[in-house]
Amino acid sequence: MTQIFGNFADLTVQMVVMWAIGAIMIYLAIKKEMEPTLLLPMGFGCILCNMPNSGMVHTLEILFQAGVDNELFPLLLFIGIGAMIDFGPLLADPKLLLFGAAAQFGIFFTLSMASLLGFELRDAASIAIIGAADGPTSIFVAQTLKSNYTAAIIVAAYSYMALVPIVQPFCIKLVTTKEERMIKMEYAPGKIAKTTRILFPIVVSAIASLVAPDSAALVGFLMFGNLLRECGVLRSLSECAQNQLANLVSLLLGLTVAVRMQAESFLVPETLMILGLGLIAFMFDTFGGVFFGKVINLFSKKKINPMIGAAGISAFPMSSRVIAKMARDEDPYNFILMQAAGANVAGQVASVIAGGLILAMIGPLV
Amino acid sequence: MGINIGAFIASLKYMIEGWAGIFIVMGIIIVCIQGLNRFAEKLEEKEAKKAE
Repeated sequence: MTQIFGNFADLTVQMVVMWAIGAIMIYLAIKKEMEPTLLLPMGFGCILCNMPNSGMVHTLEILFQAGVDNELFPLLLFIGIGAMIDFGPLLADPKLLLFGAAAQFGIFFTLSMASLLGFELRDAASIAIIGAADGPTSIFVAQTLKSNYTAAIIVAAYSYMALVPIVQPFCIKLVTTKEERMIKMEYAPGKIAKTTRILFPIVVSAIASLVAPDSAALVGFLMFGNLLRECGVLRSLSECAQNQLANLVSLLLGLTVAVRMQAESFLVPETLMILGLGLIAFMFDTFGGVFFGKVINLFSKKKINPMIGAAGISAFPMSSRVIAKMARDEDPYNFILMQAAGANVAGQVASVIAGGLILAMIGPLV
Repeated sequence: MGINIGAFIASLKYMIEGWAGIFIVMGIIIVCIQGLNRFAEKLEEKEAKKAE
């Protein structure tokens, strides 16, 4: 009997708390359909890794060393993400890239806030990258900087990405007037030549690699996926990247990250601070994008709806749909989905570049 | 861990450099995209003339 029930003696209250956290993640994934691709495996892994003397830990540690510790899984996932993205709306109006840049403000603001709260620079930078609103970028930067809080950062990043429909409308309404939200924008779809679509990923990869060499892998894998999509001669590879590769890696990634959600390392005061700082990062991303839109309106004759600045975060396509819905809620004939989508894909590029710049600035110091 | 004003002030440099850096890189990419669009247009015109 001792052999069968002896393990119960090693059960702690903290482990039970982690079971509850895992259960909440599974509930949010299934019932609320919040980022189920990641939250479900993470929640399940969290419960099993917090059983006393769990054999799951050893197995997931092997996967962690194979794919997360060396940043491989997020990079492979980026191939799939790149293959899914249509950069057409951005290529038709390249100035939308500036909204992508503006909406990364939350990353750098949070870097300062995390430093103020006493986090080491490597951890402050890793926490700040939650504001990239991009899971693979967050994992890549946190692992490259060898942050002590990778699990909390990943949980925060994916949770807040799922909460975009709640966080962004609240923040936008705080800093805009009804009149501003009702501004209509014309959409004149330009035809983008196939040559442009093919050369774009190559040019962006080259520029990012020259400016921030540490971002070469991040940007390169994203743009490689996009090149697979746009070249037109590798349809099966593109479909494989968008479906089988992305799904397989997501499945393994979620489960693997759970090995860092063991109670003794996860249930620390810093985890709550990281969740708070992650929220600040998202909020100030939104504020940064919206205020940039307002500044443009001060100098531009053709007014833009400042809400598209908020779509400059990388949470694609959710953020653009949220912004488009907010515009229609104010005026049922106000359609800004394409402009918001352009800003949203710009945010994807900008967030990856931001990750590279963080690594270039902070990497040599840690 | 506690409030660290020194680290906060030191981090402001990264905040300013980092955010400005993104705008600079995006600016370079915008110029490149506009160049690509013009290049693609010229290529299409050439091919259209050849076809004629």
